[in-house]
Amino acid sequence: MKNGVITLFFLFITFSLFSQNKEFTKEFFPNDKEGLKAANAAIKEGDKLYMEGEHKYPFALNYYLTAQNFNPDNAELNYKIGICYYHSSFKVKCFEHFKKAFDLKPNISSDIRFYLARGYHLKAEWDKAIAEYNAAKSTLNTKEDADKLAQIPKLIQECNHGKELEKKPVRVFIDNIGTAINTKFPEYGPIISADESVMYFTSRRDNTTGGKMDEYLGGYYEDIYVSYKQNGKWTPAQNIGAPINTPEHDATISLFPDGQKMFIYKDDKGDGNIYETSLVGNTWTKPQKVDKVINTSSHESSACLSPDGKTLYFVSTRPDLSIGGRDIFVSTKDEKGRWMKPVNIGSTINTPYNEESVFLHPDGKTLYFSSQGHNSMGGYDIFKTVNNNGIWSKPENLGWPINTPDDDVFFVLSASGRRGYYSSFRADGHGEKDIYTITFLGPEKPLQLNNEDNLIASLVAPVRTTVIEPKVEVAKAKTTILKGTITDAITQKVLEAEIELIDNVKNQTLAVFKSNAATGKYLVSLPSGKNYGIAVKAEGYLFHSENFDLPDTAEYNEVIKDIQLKNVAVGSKIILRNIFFDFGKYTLRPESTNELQRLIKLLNDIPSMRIEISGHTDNRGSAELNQKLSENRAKAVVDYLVANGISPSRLEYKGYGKDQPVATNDTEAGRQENRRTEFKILSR
Amino acid sequence: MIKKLLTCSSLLFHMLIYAQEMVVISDTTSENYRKSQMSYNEGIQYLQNKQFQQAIDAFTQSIQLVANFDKAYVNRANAFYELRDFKSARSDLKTAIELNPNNENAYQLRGDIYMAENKNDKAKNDYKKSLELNPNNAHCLYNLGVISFIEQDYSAAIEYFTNTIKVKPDHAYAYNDRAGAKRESGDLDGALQDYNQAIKLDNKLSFAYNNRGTVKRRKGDFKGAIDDYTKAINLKPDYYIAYNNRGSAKFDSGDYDGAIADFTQAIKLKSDYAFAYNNRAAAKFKLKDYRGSISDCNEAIRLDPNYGYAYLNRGTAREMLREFDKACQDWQKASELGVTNASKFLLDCN
Repeated sequence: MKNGVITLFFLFITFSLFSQNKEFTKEFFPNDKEGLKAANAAIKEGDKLYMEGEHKYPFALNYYLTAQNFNPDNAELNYKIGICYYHSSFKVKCFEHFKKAFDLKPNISSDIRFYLARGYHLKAEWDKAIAEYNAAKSTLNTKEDADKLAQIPKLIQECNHGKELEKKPVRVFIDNIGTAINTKFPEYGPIISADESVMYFTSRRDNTTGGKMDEYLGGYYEDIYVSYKQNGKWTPAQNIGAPINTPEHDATISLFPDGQKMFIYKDDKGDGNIYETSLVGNTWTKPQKVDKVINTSSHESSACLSPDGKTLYFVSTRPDLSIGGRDIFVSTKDEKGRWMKPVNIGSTINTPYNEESVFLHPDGKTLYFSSQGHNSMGGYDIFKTVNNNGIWSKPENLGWPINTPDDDVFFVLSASGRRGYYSSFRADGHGEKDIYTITFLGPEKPLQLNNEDNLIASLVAPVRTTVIEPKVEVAKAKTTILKGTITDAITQKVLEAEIELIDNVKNQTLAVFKSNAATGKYLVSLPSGKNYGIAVKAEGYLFHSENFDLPDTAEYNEVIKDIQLKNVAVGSKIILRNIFFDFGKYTLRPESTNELQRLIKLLNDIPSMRIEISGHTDNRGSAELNQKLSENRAKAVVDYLVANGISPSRLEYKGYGKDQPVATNDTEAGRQENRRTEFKILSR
Repeated sequence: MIKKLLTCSSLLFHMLIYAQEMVVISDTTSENYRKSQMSYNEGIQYLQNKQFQQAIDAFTQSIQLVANFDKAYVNRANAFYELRDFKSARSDLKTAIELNPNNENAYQLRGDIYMAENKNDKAKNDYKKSLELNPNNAHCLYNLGVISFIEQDYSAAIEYFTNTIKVKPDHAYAYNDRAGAKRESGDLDGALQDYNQAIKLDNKLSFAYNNRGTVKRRKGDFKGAIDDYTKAINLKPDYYIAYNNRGSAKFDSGDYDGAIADFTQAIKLKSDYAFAYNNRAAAKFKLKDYRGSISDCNEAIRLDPNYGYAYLNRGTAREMLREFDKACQDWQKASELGVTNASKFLLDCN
């Protein structure tokens, strides 16, 4: 904590020291008398020049900077340095010095806040500038600073314009045109041929004609230089020499689209006039002053011709026709080719403020010019206006970052409209004003992104809807397959026998088949739900009967039944399987009819044959009852036969009860077998 | 069909045809029929167990025993379909339909096959036929909606999806797809409602979140869009499309670093994702990384030499590097590839 307090203390002391205004006195520099002396001497020399006026500020600045190196914390010196910079090409540098001067001594001057605002303005810090302009209103001296006070509303307006324009910057590249053209000296006023193959410009470099310096403005006199574009690059600039360039100021104004004529500016001892020169071969003719209708005793500084050469646009300060300050004027040629009296181009373009550097695009209808009015963001801004059927459109600010809070002038544009050239003082320059290329990128080119979605769910996450046909209930095979081989009981010879299928209940023949003659095999399908009688017959054999009583519920079954047919021989026995009685009774059931009729047919077929009908039971129940029942059943058959015309003499009957089983009595199937009616051939 | 035959069997008596020792029985109560049915049922079991070849064998056996067993043909077609043997599947379904022109499932399945083969017209016919037999077949209604959507007939798609929903109100897919159709018709609010419902019915549908995100993005709700894309990604961490979309939403909201991170992730998940390269190029452009932007466009073009947008964007990046001739060449190429904006860009090449 203690350490913290000490640190804060030192910070405070340090801050106080930094923010303390240091006078150039021995109290502040007790140990460097020589340095102090030299600094004071520099200030004294600087002040002399400073007092001579604005044009001497660059010279004063050099002395002031020497003193500044010795003592950077003097409010007054910083203020003066700020003023010098403010009136130089390096305007923006004024800010740090005004700021320091204000920080060191807020009341250093009544106009310090105004200049601080100008600094912010030049730095395009719009809101801070506006705040300082407003603050300056109460600090400026109403008499001495009246001109500054008068400027403030316009300057605030410029800041507001700047804020708006900066929000929508134009898409341009602003590139220093390079060292082939630019030097540490000022270069400005570029003019180009329509095809951009040649550029003329003004420079105040150290090899200008005469090599003299302008004592009033400072710097070398202006000369015109030329550079050519070869293989996409500008060649090193050359001074175009006499007769264009003289020891006085000779500056570019405009070049005709074909590059064969040029307007140049000559100072004419402050008068400022427009001259015309033509290119003959490789030589420019001696410049001729343009008609006195154009050039007046006022200052004419800029001019350009319409593509047909019949209309001249120029800038003049002539007061008789001016809306305010420098204005743009128009003159046309009469029938004899003389310039007629110019007229002001009009208040759509000209403002109460200055207009400068007029340039008519090769399209003949788009005029570019610089103006301090309209919605300038500070100093001269470049505007364009289009002439539609003789009416100029409302000038349009070329926008940020082409225009800046400082002066933006001498703009020319290629015929394609793709590139412009102008001079500007920028951080990436070579020291003074340089010529820059403006490449117009056109409207914003939107970037194209690609996206995709999964709009159709089933394509991204397929859900297989399987339409499987449902299972079926497997049909119960309610069929009994009866198959086997039919042979002769004695010889085992296969027989082609007739198989008669009878519905015993309905007493109907359902079908008649034959066994295979070659194999004796047969197969009969018996759907459940019937009481089947099966009679197997073959010529010369006793018929063979089988019974299959298959209820509806009877499941699939296969029965192999080999049948041996017996000859019609004495002693042969045939079981009559389709003769039925009710349980425990001896009354023939109707289902027996078919079998009985078959037996009757057999007896009729062999009239001599005598047979015994015998009844048999299983071993259940008493023997006596079984015997009685079997006998009664045999008698019932005989009675039926007799009733159907068979002689009783041919028939015998007997009940054997359980005594002659043909199968085991231990199973139901066996017992079923044993319960039967037979006949036996007694004689034939 | 089988049922009918079984019914008839009580009226018909058996037929026995002797052919030496062979007896052919075509009675529905016959053993062959029974065995056919058993094989058929076994086939279904195989089908359900995804043992498709065994299923085919079982259905084939069933068909061999009873040649007019239409359901067996349908189910065998199912198995063929699963094995992507569409030709065999279609052949079986043709037979099934010949045997039973009222087999709704046969038409439906054949419609599915045609869809899988991109023969949407034929699929549409079959689905419609199936719907004639059963107007409440949600599957056919839905797929007809899908086909209409693919054919960009969004009003028809919306109608089919609506009918699907009527039959099956919990059909989340139908809601999702109807939302898409509404979106494409310009009805963003309707789309949003349907996506909400799809998600309400099934909150695991990553694509529904993704799609809803895009609707929100189009409505300018970038935060909502980013939230939805994030949910989609949470549900499906390898959802490169959602990463690409989220990157775009971040791009729209000015978060170019975030956008680049998402596009990079999309590329990581799908290394040949030309869209993500192109989009990352755009984000890099915004950060004035023009060389990086060109590099990504180069990759997008390498992946898809006919990628017009990548040419367009590369041209724009080249312009910023003052490579005007190359920029114009790229815009020219983009124009040739059908990018309409390119012709406007080319105006600056004069």
